Amino acid sequence: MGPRPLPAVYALILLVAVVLILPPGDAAAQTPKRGGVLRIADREAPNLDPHLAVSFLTHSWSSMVYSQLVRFAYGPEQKHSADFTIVPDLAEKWKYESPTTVVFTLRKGVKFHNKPPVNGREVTADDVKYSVERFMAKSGFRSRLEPVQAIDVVDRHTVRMTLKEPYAPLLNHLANAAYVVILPREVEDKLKDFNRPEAMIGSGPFMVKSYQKGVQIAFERNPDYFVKGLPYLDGVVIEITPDSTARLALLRSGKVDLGHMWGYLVPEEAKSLKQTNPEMVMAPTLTIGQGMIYMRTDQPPFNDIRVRRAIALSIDRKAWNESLFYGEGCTDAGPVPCALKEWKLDASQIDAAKAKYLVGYDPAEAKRLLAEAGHRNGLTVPMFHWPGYAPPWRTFYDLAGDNLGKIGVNVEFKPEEYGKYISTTYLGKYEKMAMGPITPFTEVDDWLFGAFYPEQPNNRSHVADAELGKMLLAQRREMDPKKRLALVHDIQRYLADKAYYVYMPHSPQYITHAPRVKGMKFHDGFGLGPRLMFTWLDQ
Amino acid sequence: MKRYILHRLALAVPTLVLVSVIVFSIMRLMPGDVVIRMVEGHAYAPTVAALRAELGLDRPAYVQYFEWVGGILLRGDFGSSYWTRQPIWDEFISRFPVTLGLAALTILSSVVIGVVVGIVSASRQDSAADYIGRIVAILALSIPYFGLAVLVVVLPSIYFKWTPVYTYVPFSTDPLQNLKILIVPALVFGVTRAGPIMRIMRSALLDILRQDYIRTAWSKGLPERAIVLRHALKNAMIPVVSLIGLQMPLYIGGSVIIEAIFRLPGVGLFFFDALMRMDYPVVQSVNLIVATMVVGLNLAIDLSYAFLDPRIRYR
Amino acid sequence: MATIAPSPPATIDLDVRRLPRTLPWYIEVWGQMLRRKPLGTLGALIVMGMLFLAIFAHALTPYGFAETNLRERFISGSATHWLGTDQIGRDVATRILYGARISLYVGFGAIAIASVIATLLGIFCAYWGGRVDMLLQRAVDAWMAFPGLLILMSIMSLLGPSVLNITLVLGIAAGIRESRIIRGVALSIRENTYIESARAMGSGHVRVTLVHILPNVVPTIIVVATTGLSTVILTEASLSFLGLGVPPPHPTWGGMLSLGGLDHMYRAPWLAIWPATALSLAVFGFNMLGDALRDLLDPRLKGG
Repeated sequence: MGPRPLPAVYALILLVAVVLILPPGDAAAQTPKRGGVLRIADREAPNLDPHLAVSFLTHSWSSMVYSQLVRFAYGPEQKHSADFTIVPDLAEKWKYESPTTVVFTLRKGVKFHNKPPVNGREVTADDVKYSVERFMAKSGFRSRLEPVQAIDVVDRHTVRMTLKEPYAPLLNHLANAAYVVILPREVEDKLKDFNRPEAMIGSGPFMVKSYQKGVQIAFERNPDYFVKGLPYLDGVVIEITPDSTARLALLRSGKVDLGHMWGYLVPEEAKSLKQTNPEMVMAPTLTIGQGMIYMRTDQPPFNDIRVRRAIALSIDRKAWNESLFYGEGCTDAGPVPCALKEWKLDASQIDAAKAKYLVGYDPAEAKRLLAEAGHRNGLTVPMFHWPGYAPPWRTFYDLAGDNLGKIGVNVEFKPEEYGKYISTTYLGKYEKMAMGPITPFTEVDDWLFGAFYPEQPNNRSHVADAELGKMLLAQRREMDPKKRLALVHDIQRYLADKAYYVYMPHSPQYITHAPRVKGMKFHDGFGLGPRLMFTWLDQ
Repeated sequence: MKRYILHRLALAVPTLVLVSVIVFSIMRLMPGDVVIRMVEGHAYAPTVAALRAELGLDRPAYVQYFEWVGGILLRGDFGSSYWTRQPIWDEFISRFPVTLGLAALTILSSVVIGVVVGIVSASRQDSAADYIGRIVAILALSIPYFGLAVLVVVLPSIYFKWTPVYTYVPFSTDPLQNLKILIVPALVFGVTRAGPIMRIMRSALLDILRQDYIRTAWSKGLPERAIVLRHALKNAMIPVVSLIGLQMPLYIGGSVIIEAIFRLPGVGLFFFDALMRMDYPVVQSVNLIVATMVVGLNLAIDLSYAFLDPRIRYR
Repeated sequence: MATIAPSPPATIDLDVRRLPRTLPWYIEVWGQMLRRKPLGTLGALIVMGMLFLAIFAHALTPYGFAETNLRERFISGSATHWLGTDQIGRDVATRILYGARISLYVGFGAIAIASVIATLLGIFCAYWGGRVDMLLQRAVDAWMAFPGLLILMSIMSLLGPSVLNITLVLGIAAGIRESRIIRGVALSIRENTYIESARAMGSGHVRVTLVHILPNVVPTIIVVATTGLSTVILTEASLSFLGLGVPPPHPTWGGMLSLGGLDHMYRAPWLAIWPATALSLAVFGFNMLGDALRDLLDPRLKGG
């Protein structure tokens, strides 16, 4: 027996063993890499001025280039895809001096893109005032800031907003990339027109490199972006492709990394893509959205709650979900959509006797209700709709007609051309009954106040319920988040058995992209820029 | 002949005026409101009123009409799109070469295929070649071209991870790449257009080959090729040329689906999007420009009748 | 080989005195047709078959065309569903049969309207000539300068999308376009010497038109009509693709192809194959029949 080895030798052996056992460099693959150009296929934005149209395409493009006062949490900041936590963007902090006054303090040293005529100067409170006022004067969305009375410059980096009354949705609307983006005044003065690619000058993570109308828009990284280290990508190219089949073909053949700006694919397409391109990364996600049957509740026959309840009980949501969405959709889609987790009160938490009108299926009871309401022999109703919505809506109309037929409601399909539909039926001007999806919103106030308060354009069912109206106004003015949540839950409990709208199951979207794309987390806001700022390519 | 041309040109003016009035009225008569279309679910009264004033839609229709026409005649200004606020003429000029290139290649491929097969079919009537030719023509006719386009784009992407859909490059920048981009859509479109041409060619040739002057040529001992190609073909081309002429608007407006599927930034798609969005100025002006071209083209075709069949005289 | 010498007249010898008295004449006709014009006969059979299926669709199938069955989606073919089911469980064969009704209705209707308009307009313009011709042709120019899409969309927005409206619009549009071709042919005929001699002999305008011009134009009309039929059916298909076709739930072959077929092409190709086959067969049948009719009716072939 020789001398015992030194403890140092034991330590060395242990160290070598540990190093050999540890899996090789896994942590390294998760560190974002700089570089690369992301390629996306999608449709063209109808114009480039962020205030002139309400198209989400325009706002996705503008969110690449402009910043806002505040924004939603994205990327590593977000807890889930509908996380609408307000985080600083241009404003590093904000404070409510009173329920109707809020002061924003801007970051110092944030620069606009270094392009003429702005040439990289600092973003100041004047720019904020200019942009908010332009929004309120020109935008199709100006009603979002209707309670804003004035916006004043306190000093170079401080802005004060004064409201007519307390307005809980304010910050959410300011954070929405579709509404108030901060623009430099020189563009209007010198270039006159925000619609040209050389006019898209902001302080956002990307800059416009080139725009070939109808063909392609190319963005490049903003080297002076105020968040150091971001974005990771060198550039983003959107290949303008109007046809959805062509977009999918481009994705399949590897010519693009995403077949849609947000990576959307309907379940059918996703299943088929999985077979031909198993390497694609896919994640079924419940996005914010809603579709329903809406009715003239101010006229017969739908002013009778029994008839509405009968309709609500006749839709076999579970079967639709299982066969069309492979069970991955949401059958409890209203009045607050499934994805709006922070605000939604699940039907399971509502008294079953009421909740059945939201999620139940009982054709026998439906027939009984109809008979009780005086329609023992059934009734005939028109159904106005636009047949051109993407799948699954084409089949939803047929299925609904079939389901309603089974309880004795004979549906006469009245398809309308889009221009007519969107200016009349969609805004409540129709006879008896209509059906279709609606624009998604990020703010719960739009789903409640917007859909149920009298005279609102989105109150398609012409709901005029005094007690409900009081509750809706109250939640709008309640600045304490906990109290507001309680009010919103009360409203959902109240609405459960009123069947003002009959909600359809909501389809999941399969968020799909090529495997080299990393760090792209889906978010329900329209912000493409903030999403892509955290995205990187693993080449 | 010169008098004829001048006469025709003079008549083109009321035609175009008629076109302008009709297209203007149709757009205003269509139900739906372009302003509400722009704001959709945010159609609050003050927003709508402000937009309407901005676009000049609050003035009476005839004022809007004369402003539009006046702009064209006095300043060469075809107006600006309601949506992009950009001048329509600029956009049209940048898109027109795309549609023109596509149309030219499509016509070329359909004429080549149609005429060749038609000649073979007619000169070998009721033989196997005739039957094959006719069946092929019918098959080409009965496939919807958009179905073929989708097949051509989707199938290779599934089986070969490749698709003939490219980022457009103008002819002036890179002619070879431009042709490479246009050839597949042109063939897809052209094959389906070849059917009618082939059949009309066949029918017309059969008629002509029975006529006296052909029999005369035949009895003089001229070879078949000379008879068919030199004597009969010219006259048989008349209905073919008519067909192409009357299909011109189809190539300009009807190429929408091809342009959408193959990502070609052409006039068809521009027009279709504007129509769907109720972008009145674009629809009106593009229609007027295209109408002017069609009128001119038809004049050229009518003149070509005289060249192809010298018996046709114009009083 | 003398292949361009006129081939023997393809007329049917119906002189009863000279027929062998073995089979009645209506059966003999088929025999003759089969021998002389096999493709045409095939075409005629196809057309008649389709008409039969269209007319008796309701008796031939136990399913309704809008009857959904979510438990039986995407079946490719079974004993209960011969041609399979679509994305919401509707029987494909049933929809093809009912689709025949609408596609044929729209097709025939539009072509009938188109042919009448094209013939009247084309012959009138060609024969009368002069100022009248010029003015009318300018009106035709104006019409043809409108992309069909614009007209269709406007009419359908104004009147509502329906089978009747689509038929009318397609028919009128096709008719005005086709009048150009008819006019071109009629112009050629007008210049023939026998027209001049007929006029010189004192025949009235109407007589000259009916007796001399019209019969020579008929073959072209037939070919144009049968070609136009397929165009009409296909136009309806592309309208459905753009969302402007015959509205659901009524099935048309074009709509089935554009909406169900192309959406689910990878997963359920039969949804596209069957309507496309039906479309192709219809187009094939009509065109073959039209060809045969044209050959038979060509007056220059009668009497050698």
